Amino acid sequence: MKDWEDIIKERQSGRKAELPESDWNDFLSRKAAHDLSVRRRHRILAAAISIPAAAAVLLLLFLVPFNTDVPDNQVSQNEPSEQPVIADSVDANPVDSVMIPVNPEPEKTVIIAPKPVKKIYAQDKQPEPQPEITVEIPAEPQVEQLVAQNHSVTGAIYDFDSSEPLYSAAVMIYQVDGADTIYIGGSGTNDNGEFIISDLEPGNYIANTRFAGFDDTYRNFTISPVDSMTDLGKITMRGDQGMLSELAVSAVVAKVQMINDTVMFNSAAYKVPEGASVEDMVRKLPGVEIADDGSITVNGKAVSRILVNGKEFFDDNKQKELNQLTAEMIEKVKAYEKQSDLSRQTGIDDGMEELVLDLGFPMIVLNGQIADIDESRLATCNFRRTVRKRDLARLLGIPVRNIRSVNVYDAGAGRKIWGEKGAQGVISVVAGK
Amino acid sequence: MRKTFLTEQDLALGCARKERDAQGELYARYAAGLFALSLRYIENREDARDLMHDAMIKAMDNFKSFKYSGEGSVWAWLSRITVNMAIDRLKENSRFRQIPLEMVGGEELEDAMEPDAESVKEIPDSVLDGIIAELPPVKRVVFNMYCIDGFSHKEIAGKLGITERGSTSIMAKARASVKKAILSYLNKTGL
Repeated sequence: MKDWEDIIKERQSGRKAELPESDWNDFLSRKAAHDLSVRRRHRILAAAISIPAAAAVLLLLFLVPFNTDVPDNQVSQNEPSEQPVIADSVDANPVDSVMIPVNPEPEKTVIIAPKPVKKIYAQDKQPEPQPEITVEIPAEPQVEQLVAQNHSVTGAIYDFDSSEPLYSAAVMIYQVDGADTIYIGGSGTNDNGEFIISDLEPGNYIANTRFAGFDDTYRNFTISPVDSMTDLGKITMRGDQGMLSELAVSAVVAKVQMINDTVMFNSAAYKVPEGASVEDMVRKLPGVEIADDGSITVNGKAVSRILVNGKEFFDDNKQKELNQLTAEMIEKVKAYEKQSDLSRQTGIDDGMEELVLDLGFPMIVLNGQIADIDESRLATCNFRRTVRKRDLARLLGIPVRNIRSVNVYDAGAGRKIWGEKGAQGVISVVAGK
Repeated sequence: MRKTFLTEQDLALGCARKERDAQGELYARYAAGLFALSLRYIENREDARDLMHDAMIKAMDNFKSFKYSGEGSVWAWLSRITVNMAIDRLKENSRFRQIPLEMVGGEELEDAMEPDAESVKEIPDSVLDGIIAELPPVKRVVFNMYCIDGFSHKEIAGKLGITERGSTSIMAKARASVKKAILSYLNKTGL
């Protein structure tokens, strides 16, 4: 290593970068989420190992708020006083802080809450009267529900016209909480049209029943703390007046589209073997012919240029260029007439139009900050010499400083670092001010 | 009141026991350094911060596998984790391609002139950061790994999926680019 490299190493490896204050909190919430997922995974594993215990563990998973069940869960959005100070800061005086234990650790008092595991088991042992009925457990229930779990609602659903019970109708229970209605759970009806939904808290609810071909019904009811079972009685549903008509959905990839004077070929519709070149694909397009000398004609008219995403990129040796690219990279091929150079420059249409073939590559916007990007370009490239940013800038007609990033997507065999002589591929240039 | 960990070994022990205070202390001591390290590999500040945080979490989870072997070993271990994760991430983003690199033709890489070590000391951090950040992704990673983070060419080759020879030649090119940038900066400022 050279001297100057040593200096760089020394300076760079000792560096610290400034972190915003909020980072510690950000880290804690991230770690909490991570710990949670790890614990979840462990529980699911445990459940899988012991099948009899699986139900209990899953209940545990859903019913127990995560911050009370495991003593080592000490991650919380803690008070600013707990926030550790970034190493260089002056406030961190280790000796002082050792000597004066002012407050006892707050976490311990929080965590001493009893482990609810026993309750779960007790509940698990309760005989379930109708095991065939599925009970959906609310997504984020409160601890109180462990106490008030035995409130249930039952009912039976009948067809209004025939008075027959409706099998497999859906019942959804919404809790009315002030202005909000919150979906609590749901169930289906059995052969006798009956349903039961348990584990409800006392409160106001709406029962919504649904069945294909019938109008929805809504029924308000209240669960009082005293009753363990609320019976909604007979709910009748009226048949929907409108008949459902037959519906067919299908999709066909359009092979050719005509938009004004533009013929657009959808390359997905022309199957070519993997790794086939663009030339192979272009040969398959209806009305397109490639002669032995490389000249291309569309419906008998000669193509004078090949464009990439509407921009000129290739020089005159077209066929050679087409061979360099693989067909998979292309989304669309368009053939249209373009004004000649002279009329584009002068703005006066001289009536001399030339037919161009426009290869459409998917535009890839990197960094995800679309709003900030003024222009982004994608082009094929085949580096005949080492290319630098400024060459690309000249090619695109924008200042070098506006180029944000350049990326190469693989193509072909001669893989090299982008910009190296001999490298090829599709490059995307993200530019912005 | 937080418990304090006076020595690195204490801290490592605490982290291995998953003591929360130890983890907080670990963050306080090493986060800024790891962030600087991440920034050298990943340009975007947000991504670099994410990487640092993920590396921290990974380290805290796996602290049991860490073996204390003297002052500075915690940093060495943490930085390895971060670098490995940085490389994985770069590969994922496909901004970074795995290239079996065969160098064709010998370009003139080494300039006769070497920057003066003393004047390199004078270059402000921001400029030095800029020079490294300006390198193309592959060169930047190789330069960082070899020159700053002290990986051997063999390790680099293994991690990036290139040949050892490829690594040395990328390094030579990266070195030349850095040197050129430094010289032009020094010329400009007249140092």
